[in-house]
Amino acid sequence: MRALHDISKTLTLLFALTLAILISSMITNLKWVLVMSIAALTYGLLSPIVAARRLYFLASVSPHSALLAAVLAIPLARIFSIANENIWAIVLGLFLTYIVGYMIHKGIDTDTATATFVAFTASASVMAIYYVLTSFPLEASIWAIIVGDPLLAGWNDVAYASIVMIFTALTVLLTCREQICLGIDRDYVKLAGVRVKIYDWIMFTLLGLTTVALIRIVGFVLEHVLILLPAAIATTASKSAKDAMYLSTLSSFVASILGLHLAIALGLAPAGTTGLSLLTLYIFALLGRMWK
Amino acid sequence: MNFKAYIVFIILTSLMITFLAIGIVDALNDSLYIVVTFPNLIYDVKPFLCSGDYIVSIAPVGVDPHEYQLTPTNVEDLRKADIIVSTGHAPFEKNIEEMVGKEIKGELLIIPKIPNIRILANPATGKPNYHMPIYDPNNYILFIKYISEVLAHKRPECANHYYERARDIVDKISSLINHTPKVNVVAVADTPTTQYAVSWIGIRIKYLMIKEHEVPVSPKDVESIVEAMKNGEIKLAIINNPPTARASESLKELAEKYSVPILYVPSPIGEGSILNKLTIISNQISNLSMEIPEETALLEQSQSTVGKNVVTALLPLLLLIVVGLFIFTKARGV
Repeated sequence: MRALHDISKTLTLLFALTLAILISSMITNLKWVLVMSIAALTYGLLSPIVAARRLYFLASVSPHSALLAAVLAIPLARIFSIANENIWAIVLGLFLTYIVGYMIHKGIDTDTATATFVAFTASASVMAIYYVLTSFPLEASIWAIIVGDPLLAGWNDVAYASIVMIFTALTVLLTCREQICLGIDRDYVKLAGVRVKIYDWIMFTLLGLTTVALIRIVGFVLEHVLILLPAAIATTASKSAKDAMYLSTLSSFVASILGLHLAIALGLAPAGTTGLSLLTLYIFALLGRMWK
Repeated sequence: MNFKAYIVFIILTSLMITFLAIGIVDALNDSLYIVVTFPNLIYDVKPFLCSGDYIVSIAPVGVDPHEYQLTPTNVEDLRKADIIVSTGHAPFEKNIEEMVGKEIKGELLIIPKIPNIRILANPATGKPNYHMPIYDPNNYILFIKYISEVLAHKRPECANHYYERARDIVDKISSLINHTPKVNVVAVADTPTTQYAVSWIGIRIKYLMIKEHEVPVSPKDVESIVEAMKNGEIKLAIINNPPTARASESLKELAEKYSVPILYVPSPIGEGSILNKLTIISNQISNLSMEIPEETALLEQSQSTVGKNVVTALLPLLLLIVVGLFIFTKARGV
């Protein structure tokens, strides 16, 4: 009976999301709606896992490695024509994220490892940006990576982001139970015979992949907000882990779509209005918590 | 011992004589050391040069000068410069302006400050558009005349040479202006850098995909471009060539979708002189002028009314509040 209730809840949510996408695409450009929805759903699903694993600091640092990877991918793709910028960015981004993972695995405190990592990526990003800006052609727009360029995304970008979203959704849905348990009591999960290292690796891969793959669409600045705030809203206003997952996805999606429509109406950058919409929802959650 | 002392004495004396000779030759040499801030300016200034004159660019070929930062080698070049030609709008050009009179002794020639140069207003921001005003052939003539004056003043023995070369270029530009067919149309462009390249033909850029360098595209702008293409207000799309930037690609896609003719404008900071680039534009416009429907009066503006904007902004705000209240009640129940 409970399982049936969960399925019907998920189906209702999916139906509502599809309906919202359809209505939005009738009002505005379908490509924009899809790009914004895909980014929102990807981060909306990932965010509660970040919260459950208490990896807020690492998650907020991931966009730094994504920025470095995306910038370094520009010269690498031009020098070695074996892969395009997206592939190079993903390879580099995952490599950088695995370095932190390895440091944590070797017993270094998570916050210390992350702080060392951000010191390296931030410094290296400055050098890489200067190198690319002074040595590579004009089309290499660093600003687009920093503030995001969702409205100029092509259909190729939509397909690429969709693949990333499907991969993230499947991985999160199949491993969320274990990830949540790992966040609550890691030792208990270890004793239960679960191969913890694999779940750690999955977590780092998801963080590395989603931040690098969507950085051009969402932008370095907004990635921080989209990874952290949906979970903050969900954990403030939910009673259970499942509830948190639904609420995180819903708030992320609503903020992105309404952010896009607000941007159209007011002539503003959608990345900014999405961030403010998400913040508004978080303030509502905080007020609810205060006045209960 | 004495023999060694003689050898050392001979080496030192020859070195001193060599250095002195170099110094004297340098002092007697009147050739000019010209520094241009953008690499494309080399193609416009080089045809003037008299024998022995040397020209160098601050920003290297292929990089975006808007993001460029001065290197120690650049500062060394600027110290040696007799004349510095600047477009006066990139951040590193502002740094050069601050250094003039202190570290830099050469004469700084800022293009927008040349007397009578016409600076257009950016159609999207209303602010002055400083992106290569010499792409306008009338401004280019002023620039050519002005720079020939400055060069002649700095090196009087080559004055005739500088003036003759300037006359040649001015004649070619004037002939190009006369022979290019003029149109009277509203256009959309990918970036404001194309404005000077086409305004002299009668093309009025009213819409821009990117309002200003590195400013993100806003959905409202794209929607108004689509609307103007649909209702036939936009008769021409102006795209930087090659159309590698994402904004250029998007505009090309839109123009093809709504069958709007495309005019490809060579990048103002790409290789080649302004004269060559204007010739390319002139040839294209001669072919395109048959395709572009003329208009005598401006169509009514298709911009949304303020009322419609308020409604479209209120709806998402209301929905956001509804979802916010849902989260509020859920948080109260926790």
